[in-house]
Amino acid sequence: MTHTLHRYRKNNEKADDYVLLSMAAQGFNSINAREKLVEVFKIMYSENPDNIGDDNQGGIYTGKKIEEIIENATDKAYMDSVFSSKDSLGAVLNKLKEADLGISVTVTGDMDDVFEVMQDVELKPHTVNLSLGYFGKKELLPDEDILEIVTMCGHSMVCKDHVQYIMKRVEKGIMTTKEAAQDLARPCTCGIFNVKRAEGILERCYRGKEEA
Amino acid sequence: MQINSELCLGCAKCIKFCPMKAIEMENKKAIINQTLCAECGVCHRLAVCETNAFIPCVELPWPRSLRSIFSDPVTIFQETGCSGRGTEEMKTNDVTNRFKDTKYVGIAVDVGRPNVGCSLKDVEKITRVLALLGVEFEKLNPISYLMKDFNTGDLIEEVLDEKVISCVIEVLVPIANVPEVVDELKEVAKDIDTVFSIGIICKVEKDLSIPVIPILEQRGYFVKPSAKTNIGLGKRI
Ligand code: SF4
Ligand code: SF4
Repeated sequence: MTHTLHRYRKNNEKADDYVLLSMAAQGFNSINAREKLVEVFKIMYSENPDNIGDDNQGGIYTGKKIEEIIENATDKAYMDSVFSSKDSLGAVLNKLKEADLGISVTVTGDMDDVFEVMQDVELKPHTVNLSLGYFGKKELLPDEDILEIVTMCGHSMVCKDHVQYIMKRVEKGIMTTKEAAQDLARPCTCGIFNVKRAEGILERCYRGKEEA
Repeated sequence: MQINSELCLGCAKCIKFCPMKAIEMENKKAIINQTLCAECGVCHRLAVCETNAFIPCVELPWPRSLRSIFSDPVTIFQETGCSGRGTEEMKTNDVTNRFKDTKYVGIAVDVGRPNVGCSLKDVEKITRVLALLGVEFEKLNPISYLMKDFNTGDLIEEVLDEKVISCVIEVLVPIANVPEVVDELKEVAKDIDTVFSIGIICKVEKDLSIPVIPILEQRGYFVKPSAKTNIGLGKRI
Protein backbone atom coordinates (compact mmCIF):
# COMPACT_ATOMS: atom_id res chain seq x y z
CA MET A 1 0.00 0.00 0.00
CA THR A 2 1.16 3.52 -0.69
CA HIS A 3 -1.92 5.33 0.56
CA THR A 4 -0.16 8.03 2.59
CA LEU A 5 2.49 8.85 0.02
CA HIS A 6 0.85 10.83 -2.75
CA ARG A 7 -0.92 13.51 -0.72
CA TYR A 8 -1.16 16.43 -3.11
CA ARG A 9 0.21 19.84 -2.18
CA LYS A 10 -0.42 22.88 -4.34
CA ASN A 11 2.92 24.13 -5.73
CA ASN A 12 4.60 21.49 -3.53
CA GLU A 13 4.30 23.91 -0.64
CA LYS A 14 5.08 22.71 2.86
CA ALA A 15 2.14 21.44 4.88
CA ASP A 16 1.81 20.71 8.57
CA ASP A 17 0.80 17.18 7.88
CA TYR A 18 2.62 14.16 9.31
CA VAL A 19 1.06 10.73 8.95
CA LEU A 20 2.16 7.81 11.11
CA LEU A 21 1.55 4.18 10.18
CA SER A 22 2.45 1.25 12.34
CA MET A 23 2.14 -2.48 11.82
CA ALA A 24 3.75 -5.79 12.60
CA ALA A 25 5.61 -7.57 9.81
CA GLN A 26 3.48 -10.62 9.06
CA GLY A 27 5.53 -13.78 9.53
CA PHE A 28 8.37 -11.94 11.31
CA ASN A 29 7.13 -10.25 14.48
CA SER A 30 3.37 -10.54 14.13
CA ILE A 31 2.62 -13.34 16.60
CA ASN A 32 1.13 -11.77 19.73
CA ALA A 33 1.84 -8.31 18.30
CA ARG A 34 -1.57 -7.05 19.45
CA GLU A 35 -0.39 -5.74 22.82
CA LYS A 36 2.49 -3.86 21.25
CA LEU A 37 0.28 -2.38 18.54
CA VAL A 38 -2.18 -1.24 21.17
CA GLU A 39 0.69 0.38 23.05
CA VAL A 40 1.75 2.21 19.85
CA PHE A 41 -1.84 3.34 19.40
CA LYS A 42 -2.04 4.64 22.99
CA ILE A 43 1.22 6.56 22.55
CA MET A 44 -0.07 8.13 19.34
CA TYR A 45 -3.33 9.06 21.04
CA SER A 46 -1.53 10.60 24.03
CA GLU A 47 -0.08 13.33 21.79
CA ASN A 48 -3.45 14.62 20.53
CA PRO A 49 -3.43 13.51 16.89
CA ASP A 50 -5.74 15.26 14.42
CA ASN A 51 -7.10 11.88 13.40
CA ILE A 52 -6.40 8.30 14.47
CA GLY A 53 -7.65 4.83 13.65
CA ASP A 54 -6.97 1.26 12.67
CA ASP A 55 -7.16 0.46 8.92
CA ASN A 56 -9.08 -2.71 9.72
CA GLN A 57 -11.68 -1.08 11.95
CA GLY A 58 -12.05 2.60 11.14
CA GLY A 59 -11.03 5.93 12.59
CA ILE A 60 -12.47 8.36 15.11
CA TYR A 61 -14.30 10.33 12.39
CA THR A 62 -15.92 7.17 11.05
CA GLY A 63 -17.60 6.88 14.44
CA LYS A 64 -15.21 4.47 16.18
CA LYS A 65 -14.45 5.04 19.83
CA ILE A 66 -10.85 4.86 21.03
CA GLU A 67 -11.72 2.12 23.56
CA GLU A 68 -13.46 0.12 20.83
CA ILE A 69 -10.40 0.28 18.54
CA ILE A 70 -8.17 -0.85 21.41
CA GLU A 71 -10.47 -3.68 22.39
CA ASN A 72 -10.90 -5.05 18.88
CA ALA A 73 -7.30 -4.64 17.70
CA THR A 74 -5.64 -7.80 16.39
CA ASP A 75 -2.10 -8.87 15.55
CA LYS A 76 -2.86 -7.58 12.03
CA ALA A 77 -3.89 -4.08 13.13
CA TYR A 78 -2.58 -1.13 11.12
CA MET A 79 -2.44 1.73 13.61
CA ASP A 80 -2.58 5.12 11.92
CA SER A 81 -2.60 8.72 13.05
CA VAL A 82 -1.91 12.19 11.72
CA PHE A 83 -0.31 15.20 13.42
CA SER A 84 -0.24 18.85 12.41
CA SER A 85 2.98 20.13 13.94
CA LYS A 86 6.63 19.21 14.10
CA ASP A 87 6.49 19.54 17.88
CA SER A 88 3.80 16.92 18.30
CA LEU A 89 5.58 14.69 15.77
CA GLY A 90 8.78 15.01 17.81
CA ALA A 91 6.94 14.24 21.04
CA VAL A 92 5.26 11.11 19.65
CA LEU A 93 8.44 9.82 18.00
CA ASN A 94 10.36 10.32 21.22
CA LYS A 95 7.78 8.33 23.20
CA LEU A 96 7.79 5.56 20.57
CA LYS A 97 11.56 5.36 20.71
CA GLU A 98 11.58 5.21 24.51
CA ALA A 99 8.90 2.50 24.50
CA ASP A 100 11.16 0.33 22.30
CA LEU A 101 8.33 -1.96 21.18
CA GLY A 102 10.08 -3.38 18.10
CA ILE A 103 7.13 -2.50 15.85
CA SER A 104 7.71 -0.73 12.51
CA VAL A 105 6.56 2.86 12.14
CA THR A 106 6.59 5.07 9.06
CA VAL A 107 6.15 8.83 8.90
CA THR A 108 4.86 10.54 5.76
CA GLY A 109 5.50 14.25 5.44
CA ASP A 110 8.02 16.76 4.22
CA MET A 111 11.22 14.70 4.18
CA ASP A 112 13.50 17.51 5.37
CA ASP A 113 11.26 18.19 8.34
CA VAL A 114 10.82 14.52 9.19
CA PHE A 115 14.59 13.89 9.04
CA GLU A 116 15.19 16.96 11.22
CA VAL A 117 12.70 15.80 13.85
CA MET A 118 14.20 12.31 13.74
CA GLN A 119 17.67 13.71 14.30
CA ASP A 120 16.38 15.68 17.31
CA VAL A 121 15.07 12.50 18.92
CA GLU A 122 18.08 10.46 17.77
CA LEU A 123 16.37 8.19 15.29
CA LYS A 124 17.85 7.16 11.94
CA PRO A 125 15.77 6.89 8.75
CA HIS A 126 15.86 3.30 7.50
CA THR A 127 14.10 3.31 4.10
CA VAL A 128 12.17 5.93 2.14
CA ASN A 129 9.36 5.85 -0.39
CA LEU A 130 9.65 8.88 -2.67
CA SER A 131 6.88 10.29 -4.81
CA LEU A 132 7.27 11.34 -8.44
CA GLY A 133 3.67 12.57 -8.59
CA TYR A 134 0.91 11.83 -11.10
CA PHE A 135 1.10 10.60 -14.69
CA GLY A 136 -1.48 9.75 -17.34
CA LYS A 137 -4.82 11.47 -17.98
CA LYS A 138 -4.32 14.24 -15.44
CA GLU A 139 -7.24 16.14 -16.95
CA LEU A 140 -9.46 13.63 -15.13
CA LEU A 141 -8.21 14.85 -11.76
CA PRO A 142 -10.17 17.43 -9.78
CA ASP A 143 -8.84 20.96 -9.38
CA GLU A 144 -5.89 21.49 -7.06
CA ASP A 145 -7.79 22.59 -3.93
CA ILE A 146 -10.07 19.57 -4.14
CA LEU A 147 -7.12 17.34 -4.98
CA GLU A 148 -5.40 18.43 -1.77
CA ILE A 149 -8.47 17.37 0.17
CA VAL A 150 -9.35 14.08 -1.56
CA THR A 151 -5.76 12.78 -1.49
CA MET A 152 -5.76 12.96 2.31
CA CYS A 153 -7.78 9.75 2.14
CA GLY A 154 -5.29 7.50 0.40
CA HIS A 155 -7.91 4.92 -0.53
CA SER A 156 -9.81 7.56 -2.51
CA MET A 157 -12.94 7.21 -0.40
CA VAL A 158 -13.53 10.97 -0.27
CA CYS A 159 -15.45 11.93 -3.39
CA LYS A 160 -14.72 15.19 -5.22
CA ASP A 161 -18.45 15.82 -5.71
CA HIS A 162 -18.99 15.66 -1.98
CA VAL A 163 -16.12 18.10 -1.42
CA GLN A 164 -17.69 20.53 -3.92
CA TYR A 165 -21.04 20.21 -2.17
CA ILE A 166 -19.45 20.84 1.23
CA MET A 167 -17.55 23.86 -0.11
CA LYS A 168 -20.83 25.38 -1.26
CA ARG A 169 -22.35 24.84 2.18
CA VAL A 170 -19.41 26.65 3.77
CA GLU A 171 -19.81 29.52 1.28
CA LYS A 172 -23.50 29.78 2.11
CA GLY A 173 -22.72 29.83 5.84
CA ILE A 174 -24.61 26.59 6.48
CA MET A 175 -21.49 24.91 7.86
CA THR A 176 -18.32 26.14 9.53
CA THR A 177 -15.01 25.07 8.02
CA LYS A 178 -14.45 22.91 11.10
CA GLU A 179 -17.76 21.09 10.70
CA ALA A 180 -17.08 20.72 6.99
CA ALA A 181 -13.62 19.25 7.55
CA GLN A 182 -14.97 16.76 10.09
CA ASP A 183 -17.71 15.70 7.69
CA LEU A 184 -15.18 15.17 4.91
CA ALA A 185 -13.13 12.91 7.20
CA ARG A 186 -15.99 10.43 7.63
CA PRO A 187 -15.22 8.15 4.65
CA CYS A 188 -11.54 7.74 5.64
CA THR A 189 -11.48 4.32 7.31
CA CYS A 190 -7.79 4.50 8.31
CA GLY A 191 -7.85 7.72 10.30
CA ILE A 192 -5.25 9.55 8.21
CA PHE A 193 -7.45 12.34 6.81
CA ASN A 194 -6.01 15.47 8.42
CA VAL A 195 -9.02 17.43 9.66
CA LYS A 196 -6.99 20.47 10.67
CA ARG A 197 -5.32 20.70 7.27
CA ALA A 198 -8.68 20.27 5.51
CA GLU A 199 -10.06 23.10 7.58
CA GLY A 200 -7.15 25.31 6.48
CA ILE A 201 -7.68 24.43 2.81
CA LEU A 202 -11.42 25.18 3.08
CA GLU A 203 -10.68 28.51 4.76
CA ARG A 204 -8.18 29.39 2.04
CA CYS A 205 -10.78 28.61 -0.67
CA TYR A 206 -13.54 30.47 1.16
CA ARG A 207 -11.36 33.56 1.67
CA GLY A 208 -10.31 33.42 -1.98
CA LYS A 209 -13.97 33.45 -3.07
CA GLU A 210 -14.81 36.31 -0.72
CA GLU A 211 -11.94 38.41 -2.04
CA ALA A 212 -12.85 37.69 -5.69
CA MET B 1 -23.71 -2.88 -4.38
CA GLN B 2 -27.43 -2.70 -5.06
CA ILE B 3 -30.23 -0.32 -4.09
CA ASN B 4 -33.60 -1.59 -2.91
CA SER B 5 -35.88 0.40 -5.23
CA GLU B 6 -38.83 -0.09 -2.88
CA LEU B 7 -37.01 1.74 -0.13
CA CYS B 8 -35.53 4.45 -2.37
CA LEU B 9 -37.30 7.82 -2.05
CA GLY B 10 -35.46 9.31 -5.02
CA CYS B 11 -33.90 12.10 -2.95
CA ALA B 12 -30.56 11.78 -4.83
CA LYS B 13 -28.59 12.62 -1.69
CA CYS B 14 -26.35 9.58 -2.13
CA ILE B 15 -25.02 10.48 -5.59
CA LYS B 16 -22.29 12.86 -4.45
CA PHE B 17 -20.66 10.26 -2.16
CA CYS B 18 -19.77 7.75 -4.86
CA PRO B 19 -16.14 8.17 -5.97
CA MET B 20 -16.89 6.23 -9.18
CA LYS B 21 -20.02 8.17 -10.23
CA ALA B 22 -21.84 4.85 -10.29
CA ILE B 23 -25.09 6.04 -8.70
CA GLU B 24 -27.57 7.29 -11.29
CA MET B 25 -31.19 8.39 -11.24
CA GLU B 26 -33.69 6.49 -13.37
CA ASN B 27 -37.44 7.03 -13.20
CA LYS B 28 -37.02 9.06 -9.98
CA LYS B 29 -35.16 6.23 -8.26
CA ALA B 30 -31.45 5.78 -7.58
CA ILE B 31 -29.84 2.82 -9.30
CA ILE B 32 -26.27 1.58 -9.37
CA ASN B 33 -24.50 1.26 -12.66
CA GLN B 34 -22.90 -2.15 -12.14
CA THR B 35 -20.22 -1.54 -14.75
CA LEU B 36 -18.96 1.55 -12.95
CA CYS B 37 -19.45 0.39 -9.35
CA ALA B 38 -16.12 -0.67 -7.83
CA GLU B 39 -17.76 -2.26 -4.75
CA CYS B 40 -15.88 0.10 -2.43
CA GLY B 41 -18.71 0.12 0.11
CA VAL B 42 -18.55 3.88 0.83
CA CYS B 43 -22.26 4.50 0.15
CA HIS B 44 -23.29 1.77 2.58
CA ARG B 45 -20.64 2.44 5.24
CA LEU B 46 -21.46 6.14 5.45
CA ALA B 47 -25.14 5.41 6.03
CA VAL B 48 -26.03 8.36 3.79
CA CYS B 49 -29.42 6.94 2.93
CA GLU B 50 -32.14 7.68 5.45
CA THR B 51 -34.16 4.62 4.45
CA ASN B 52 -31.11 2.34 4.42
CA ALA B 53 -31.77 1.32 0.83
CA PHE B 54 -28.21 0.21 0.02
CA ILE B 55 -27.70 -3.55 -0.07
CA PRO B 56 -24.09 -4.76 -0.13
CA CYS B 57 -23.58 -8.16 -1.76
CA VAL B 58 -22.69 -10.66 0.94
CA GLU B 59 -20.40 -12.67 -1.27
CA LEU B 60 -19.41 -11.30 -4.64
CA PRO B 61 -18.83 -13.90 -7.36
CA TRP B 62 -15.40 -14.22 -8.99
CA PRO B 63 -14.05 -12.14 -10.72
CA ARG B 64 -16.29 -9.32 -9.49
CA SER B 65 -14.94 -10.01 -5.98
CA LEU B 66 -11.70 -8.38 -7.16
CA ARG B 67 -13.46 -5.02 -7.20
CA SER B 68 -14.00 -5.21 -3.47
CA ILE B 69 -10.50 -6.56 -2.75
CA PHE B 70 -8.88 -3.60 -4.51
CA SER B 71 -11.42 -0.88 -3.73
CA ASP B 72 -12.78 -1.52 -0.25
CA PRO B 73 -10.04 -0.84 2.31
CA VAL B 74 -11.65 -3.14 4.85
CA THR B 75 -11.69 -6.20 2.58
CA ILE B 76 -8.85 -8.64 3.31
CA PHE B 77 -7.03 -10.30 0.43
CA GLN B 78 -6.92 -13.88 1.74
CA GLU B 79 -3.69 -14.84 -0.03
CA THR B 80 -1.62 -12.08 1.63
CA GLY B 81 -3.66 -11.58 4.77
CA CYS B 82 -3.40 -7.84 4.08
CA SER B 83 -6.28 -5.46 3.63
CA GLY B 84 -6.16 -3.39 0.50
CA ARG B 85 -4.27 -3.21 -2.70
CA GLY B 86 -0.64 -3.78 -1.99
CA THR B 87 1.81 -5.26 0.47
CA GLU B 88 3.74 -4.09 3.50
CA GLU B 89 6.44 -2.93 1.01
CA MET B 90 8.92 -0.64 2.83
CA LYS B 91 6.66 -0.07 5.82
CA THR B 92 8.20 -3.04 7.63
CA ASN B 93 11.55 -3.07 5.82
CA ASP B 94 13.40 -2.54 9.10
CA VAL B 95 12.14 -6.03 10.02
CA THR B 96 11.78 -7.90 6.71
CA ASN B 97 14.83 -6.52 4.90
CA ARG B 98 12.87 -6.86 1.67
CA PHE B 99 14.91 -3.98 0.24
CA LYS B 100 18.33 -5.14 1.41
CA ASP B 101 20.62 -2.43 0.14
CA THR B 102 20.69 0.47 -2.29
CA LYS B 103 21.69 -1.71 -5.25
CA TYR B 104 18.02 -2.52 -5.81
CA VAL B 105 15.12 -0.11 -5.64
CA GLY B 106 11.39 -0.76 -5.39
CA ILE B 107 8.93 0.92 -7.73
CA ALA B 108 5.25 1.12 -6.80
CA VAL B 109 2.86 2.21 -9.54
CA ASP B 110 -0.37 3.29 -7.91
CA VAL B 111 -3.05 3.18 -10.61
CA GLY B 112 -6.46 4.90 -10.59
CA ARG B 113 -6.28 7.24 -7.62
CA PRO B 114 -7.68 9.67 -6.78
CA ASN B 115 -11.34 9.50 -7.82
CA VAL B 116 -10.60 8.25 -11.33
CA GLY B 117 -10.61 4.46 -11.04
CA CYS B 118 -9.12 2.04 -13.52
CA SER B 119 -9.92 -1.09 -15.43
CA LEU B 120 -7.59 -4.04 -15.12
CA LYS B 121 -7.08 -3.71 -18.90
CA ASP B 122 -5.23 -0.46 -18.21
CA VAL B 123 -3.27 -2.15 -15.46
CA GLU B 124 -2.22 -4.84 -17.92
CA LYS B 125 -0.84 -2.22 -20.31
CA ILE B 126 1.49 -1.14 -17.52
CA THR B 127 2.47 -4.64 -16.37
CA ARG B 128 3.30 -5.56 -19.98
CA VAL B 129 5.67 -2.61 -20.31
CA LEU B 130 7.30 -3.46 -16.99
CA ALA B 131 7.69 -7.13 -17.97
CA LEU B 132 9.47 -6.13 -21.19
CA LEU B 133 11.97 -4.23 -19.06
CA GLY B 134 12.75 -7.41 -17.13
CA VAL B 135 11.67 -6.13 -13.71
CA GLU B 136 11.01 -8.47 -10.80
CA PHE B 137 7.33 -8.38 -9.82
CA GLU B 138 6.54 -8.54 -6.10
CA LYS B 139 4.99 -12.00 -5.72
CA LEU B 140 2.82 -11.10 -2.69
CA ASN B 141 1.11 -8.20 -4.44
CA PRO B 142 -2.53 -8.91 -5.42
CA ILE B 143 -1.88 -7.88 -9.05
CA SER B 144 0.90 -10.47 -9.27
CA TYR B 145 -1.66 -13.14 -8.27
CA LEU B 146 -3.66 -12.15 -11.37
CA MET B 147 -0.67 -12.38 -13.69
CA LYS B 148 -0.72 -15.21 -16.21
CA ASP B 149 2.89 -14.82 -17.17
CA PHE B 150 5.54 -12.75 -15.39
CA ASN B 151 7.62 -12.67 -18.59
CA THR B 152 4.90 -10.95 -20.62
CA GLY B 153 2.99 -9.12 -17.88
CA ASP B 154 -0.29 -10.57 -19.21
CA LEU B 155 -3.14 -10.84 -16.71
CA ILE B 156 -5.67 -13.67 -16.83
CA GLU B 157 -8.34 -12.77 -19.42
CA GLU B 158 -11.37 -13.19 -17.19
CA VAL B 159 -10.33 -10.31 -14.91
CA LEU B 160 -9.62 -7.68 -17.55
CA ASP B 161 -13.08 -6.09 -17.53
CA GLU B 162 -13.10 -5.51 -13.80
CA LYS B 163 -13.08 -1.92 -12.63
CA VAL B 164 -11.43 -0.88 -9.37
CA ILE B 165 -10.83 2.37 -7.52
CA SER B 166 -7.12 1.71 -7.44
CA CYS B 167 -4.43 -0.91 -7.32
CA VAL B 168 -0.68 -0.98 -6.90
CA ILE B 169 1.89 -2.72 -9.09
CA GLU B 170 5.09 -3.39 -7.14
CA VAL B 171 8.41 -4.24 -8.76
CA LEU B 172 12.09 -4.42 -7.90
CA VAL B 173 14.77 -3.06 -10.26
CA PRO B 174 18.52 -2.47 -10.16
CA ILE B 175 19.09 1.16 -9.16
CA ALA B 176 20.83 1.97 -12.46
CA ASN B 177 17.70 0.95 -14.38
CA VAL B 178 15.32 3.26 -12.52
CA PRO B 179 15.43 6.15 -15.06
CA GLU B 180 14.72 3.78 -17.95
CA VAL B 181 11.75 2.23 -16.12
CA VAL B 182 10.31 5.64 -15.25
CA ASP B 183 10.82 6.79 -18.87
CA GLU B 184 8.81 3.80 -20.09
CA LEU B 185 6.08 4.37 -17.51
CA LYS B 186 5.83 7.95 -18.76
CA GLU B 187 5.36 6.59 -22.28
CA VAL B 188 2.63 4.11 -21.35
CA ALA B 189 0.88 6.92 -19.43
CA LYS B 190 -0.10 8.33 -22.86
CA ASP B 191 -1.91 5.13 -23.71
CA ILE B 192 -4.15 4.60 -20.67
CA ASP B 193 -7.55 5.93 -19.67
CA THR B 194 -6.61 6.72 -16.11
CA VAL B 195 -3.89 8.21 -13.92
CA PHE B 196 -1.13 6.67 -11.86
CA SER B 197 1.41 7.89 -9.37
CA ILE B 198 4.91 6.52 -8.96
CA GLY B 199 6.62 5.70 -5.69
CA ILE B 200 10.34 4.89 -5.52
CA ILE B 201 11.55 2.85 -2.55
CA CYS B 202 15.18 3.15 -1.52
CA LYS B 203 17.18 2.35 1.59
CA VAL B 204 18.81 5.31 3.31
CA GLU B 205 22.62 5.20 3.58
CA LYS B 206 24.40 5.64 6.94
CA ASP B 207 25.31 9.22 6.00
CA LEU B 208 21.56 9.81 5.37
CA SER B 209 22.02 10.07 1.61
CA ILE B 210 19.45 8.48 -0.70
CA PRO B 211 21.32 7.31 -3.79
CA VAL B 212 18.32 7.12 -6.11
CA ILE B 213 17.53 10.85 -5.79
CA PRO B 214 20.50 12.20 -7.80
CA ILE B 215 19.93 9.47 -10.41
CA LEU B 216 16.34 10.59 -10.91
CA GLU B 217 17.19 14.28 -10.83
CA GLN B 218 19.91 13.81 -13.41
CA ARG B 219 17.27 12.35 -15.74
CA GLY B 220 15.10 15.44 -15.17
CA TYR B 221 12.59 13.93 -12.72
CA PHE B 222 11.35 16.02 -9.84
CA VAL B 223 11.24 14.14 -6.57
CA LYS B 224 8.41 15.51 -4.43
CA PRO B 225 9.48 17.00 -1.09
CA SER B 226 7.01 14.84 0.82
CA ALA B 227 8.00 11.21 1.30
CA LYS B 228 7.27 8.22 3.49
CA THR B 229 10.07 7.28 5.87
CA ASN B 230 10.49 4.05 7.78
CA ILE B 231 12.00 5.29 11.03
CA GLY B 232 13.77 2.05 11.95
CA LEU B 233 11.95 1.04 15.13
CA GLY B 234 10.98 -2.46 13.96
CA LYS B 235 12.77 -5.56 15.22
CA ARG B 236 12.60 -9.27 14.45
CA ILE B 237 11.59 -11.45 17.35
S1 SF4 C 1 -30.16 8.39 -0.49
FE1 SF4 C 1 -31.44 6.53 -0.38
S2 SF4 C 1 -33.51 7.30 -0.73
FE2 SF4 C 1 -32.14 8.93 -1.45
S3 SF4 C 1 -31.82 8.47 -3.65
FE3 SF4 C 1 -30.16 7.47 -2.55
S4 SF4 C 1 -30.91 5.38 -2.24
FE4 SF4 C 1 -32.70 6.61 -2.72
S1 SF4 D 1 -20.01 0.65 -3.61
FE1 SF4 D 1 -18.66 2.42 -4.03
S2 SF4 D 1 -18.53 2.51 -6.27
FE2 SF4 D 1 -20.32 1.21 -5.77
S3 SF4 D 1 -22.04 2.63 -5.72
FE3 SF4 D 1 -21.31 2.50 -3.61
S4 SF4 D 1 -19.87 4.22 -3.43
FE4 SF4 D 1 -20.22 3.89 -5.63
